[in-house]
Amino acid sequence: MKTMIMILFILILTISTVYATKDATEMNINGVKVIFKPAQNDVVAVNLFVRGGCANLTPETAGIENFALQVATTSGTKKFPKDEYSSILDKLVSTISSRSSNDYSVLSIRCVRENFSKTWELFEDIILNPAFDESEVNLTREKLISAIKTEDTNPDALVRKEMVKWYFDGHPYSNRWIGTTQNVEKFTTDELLNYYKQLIVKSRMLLVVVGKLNKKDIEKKVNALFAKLPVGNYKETPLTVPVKSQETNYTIVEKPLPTNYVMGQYLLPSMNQPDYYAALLAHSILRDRMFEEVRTKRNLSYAPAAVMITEKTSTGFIYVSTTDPDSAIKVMVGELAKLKTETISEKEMKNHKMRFLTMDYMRQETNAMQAGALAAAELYAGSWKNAAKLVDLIDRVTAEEIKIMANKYITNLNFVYVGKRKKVDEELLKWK
Amino acid sequence: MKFLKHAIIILSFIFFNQIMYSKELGVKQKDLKNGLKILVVENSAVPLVTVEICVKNGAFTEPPEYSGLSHLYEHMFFKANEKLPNQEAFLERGRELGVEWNGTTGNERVNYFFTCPKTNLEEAIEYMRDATMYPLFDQTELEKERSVVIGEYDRAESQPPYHLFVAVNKKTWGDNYNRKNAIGERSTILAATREQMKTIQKKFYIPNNSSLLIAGDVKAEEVFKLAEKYFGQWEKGEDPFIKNPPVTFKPLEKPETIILEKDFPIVVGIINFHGPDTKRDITGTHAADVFAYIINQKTSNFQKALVESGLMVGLNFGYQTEHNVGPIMVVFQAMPDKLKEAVKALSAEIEKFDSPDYYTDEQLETAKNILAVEEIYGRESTSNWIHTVSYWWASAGLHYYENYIKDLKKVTRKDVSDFVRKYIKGSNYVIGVLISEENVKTLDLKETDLLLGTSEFEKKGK
Repeated sequence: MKTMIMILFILILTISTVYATKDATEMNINGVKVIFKPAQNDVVAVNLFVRGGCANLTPETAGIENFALQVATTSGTKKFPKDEYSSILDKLVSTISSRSSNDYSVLSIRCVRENFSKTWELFEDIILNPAFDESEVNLTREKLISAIKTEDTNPDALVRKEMVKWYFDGHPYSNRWIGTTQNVEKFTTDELLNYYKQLIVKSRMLLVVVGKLNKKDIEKKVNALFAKLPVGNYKETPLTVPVKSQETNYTIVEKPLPTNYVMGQYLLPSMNQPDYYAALLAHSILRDRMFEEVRTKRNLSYAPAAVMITEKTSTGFIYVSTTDPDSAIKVMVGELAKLKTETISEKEMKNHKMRFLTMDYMRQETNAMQAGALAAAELYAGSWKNAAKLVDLIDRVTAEEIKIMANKYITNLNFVYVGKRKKVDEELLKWK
Repeated sequence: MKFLKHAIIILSFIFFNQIMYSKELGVKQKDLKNGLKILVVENSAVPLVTVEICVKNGAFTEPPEYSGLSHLYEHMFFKANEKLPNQEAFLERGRELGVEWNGTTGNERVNYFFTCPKTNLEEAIEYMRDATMYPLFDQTELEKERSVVIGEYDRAESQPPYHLFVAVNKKTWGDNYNRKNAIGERSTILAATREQMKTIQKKFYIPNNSSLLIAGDVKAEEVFKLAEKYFGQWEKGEDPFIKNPPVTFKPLEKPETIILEKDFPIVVGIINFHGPDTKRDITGTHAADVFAYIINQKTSNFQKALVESGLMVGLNFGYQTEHNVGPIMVVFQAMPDKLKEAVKALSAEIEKFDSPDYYTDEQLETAKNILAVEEIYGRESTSNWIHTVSYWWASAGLHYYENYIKDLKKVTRKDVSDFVRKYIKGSNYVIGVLISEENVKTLDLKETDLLLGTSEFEKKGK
């Protein structure tokens, strides 16, 4: 019944609670930080993070990292040619996959404990000796082009894409990890392989393993892999502030759709900044208020939302699909304004802290989610141990701190509107 | 099947008040006197509890004048009831309990679920009881909610592939399309009345047509006591399916083709067949699942001939287990210039589906293994897995799910061939493609270009 918009706008990494860190340990293996957390169930989740993400890309190379990793994880190796590789994975019911995002890419394993050793053997070979077969490159190319082209036919995907283009103009995130059809069409097999080789270096890496596994065995396996990898010279560089975040503006994409899609984005604190937890709780409250004010009371939309995206450059957005954009926008920006002017009641704070706890525990249910939570704290707050403090830090947030955060951050709003231009009063998109 | 249903009712009477435990599933069960089935999953991995009510309702119970009203009812569930005067109060109570809530409506099931800290278990059960047993269907709230449901419609219709899905399904299910169309019809939703909501409640929202599932950091004994306390007074009703048994879907008389012209950069294709169901052909349902997992393997002949060859960019063979005719749906994506060749190649593959060398023994065993291990993955998140349990309870019966992996392991090559010959090869189908007007012209695409030539109807015609 409730929209799945929260899932559609995937929070890049989930955040965590004490459950994520319980019994977790840290190792330094051959120069790479490895976080290991024993689990109770039989599923194993391994995530090898490669730092950089869109900051590694330029307008001309946008898409290359995602493309290279997709080819690497599907084309097999010299030792395990593609068919054999796919067949073994099917037999083991294991997956080896990759995912790219704004701040990093990740190579992942999901398998059952009994099949971990064999899956790791394939994983190691993929990292060290990917086949990069020409025919696989071309098949992947066609799939990616198809995906990029169809993006524009899904209004939710289109409004997100247009927002990235608009809001992050001049910022590394504007070099979208999925790339453009022009770029994906032109990358050669050699370019992809060379990119892959310079990407897969230890200075970029963070490894997280969650599973019912023997720690010594992991150490041994990981050590054998990292001993064969170059160190590289990756240095993390701070990202610039998006220019658009300093002004209020909007853009309209005319599309004759049955309903209209509106997204308003603004800058928020990153996980390593003091206002972060106030922003996180504020967005849990805001999400609820949007639902109640836009949907329940005024039936203006099936799918109103307010989301915080935790990234190196964290942002928040309000979103709605509606046939009455003017009324919906007025209510939504009104709710944003209330965060700045009204003090949230004690009761509302208490209730949301409780709900936050529920959502947080739900995000701890799978080992993959736990691995994501540990990595988020490490990559964005500087230490995976910070994950354990989340519930406590949320609990300490005061209504006053939310008001301060809102006044400090939610100052400029940039709108993207996809739909019928004549349906919206453009003055409403110039919110200040 | 009727016999089986009676047998189950009698058994539950005999074992009344006894607790049953399915070792395979890890689900503890108890039937209340009023027929409500209580299913409990104990898992203390996180200190949460999920409370779910599942009702055998949805599109399959809807005559045309009720098309989409199970779904509207689902929306009304989260509104005013005798204990909470309006949706604002309902939401406020949910917040007090730290509840994450949602509901879904499908062809054969409607379910509602609350997840909250385990300390609020009893309050969450009471909260669920009030929404289930005492809804008010406030007229103002009903009128408002119609627009929200229409908003869901608008969102779906903003995506071109949805129109193809609807067009293909309309032809697949003919006069009984509404029995497989959970979102329903706009006009029916807009005209929905309180009386209709009350009719749905009276017919379907009765304990002997529902199950209460509770999963998480709980103890079954405590849950059974609470279930009795809060749902024990729920009044039993008349079996809704005695007077109104599920409809009979008319078999497709001939292959049907659809070219849906809409602005779209690639081609999306859907092919539907009427598949087996848990009412008439349980072995067929198992064979369908195994076959799907054979030919979706990357190294299968199917994938190699159609995707690895570069003819298609995506291809999936799907089967949905249902109580009354489960749909078989093949979905593919292709670049426009390859469409005609891709359809021919797909037709050639279907012709080979029942040949002994179409898949290896290893692929057959791998398919069974994938299905078994996917179960392990699915159970990682208890708050999600409980929805799988309720789905099977509604569409197949819990016994089916309890034996599911065991029965899959028994599937033979003959079962797979029988499935293919009975439901796919030789059978009529509906094929539809979503393609731009420009590409239709460039390709000079005609509906006859989409015919697979695999049905008896076509073969006799030749």
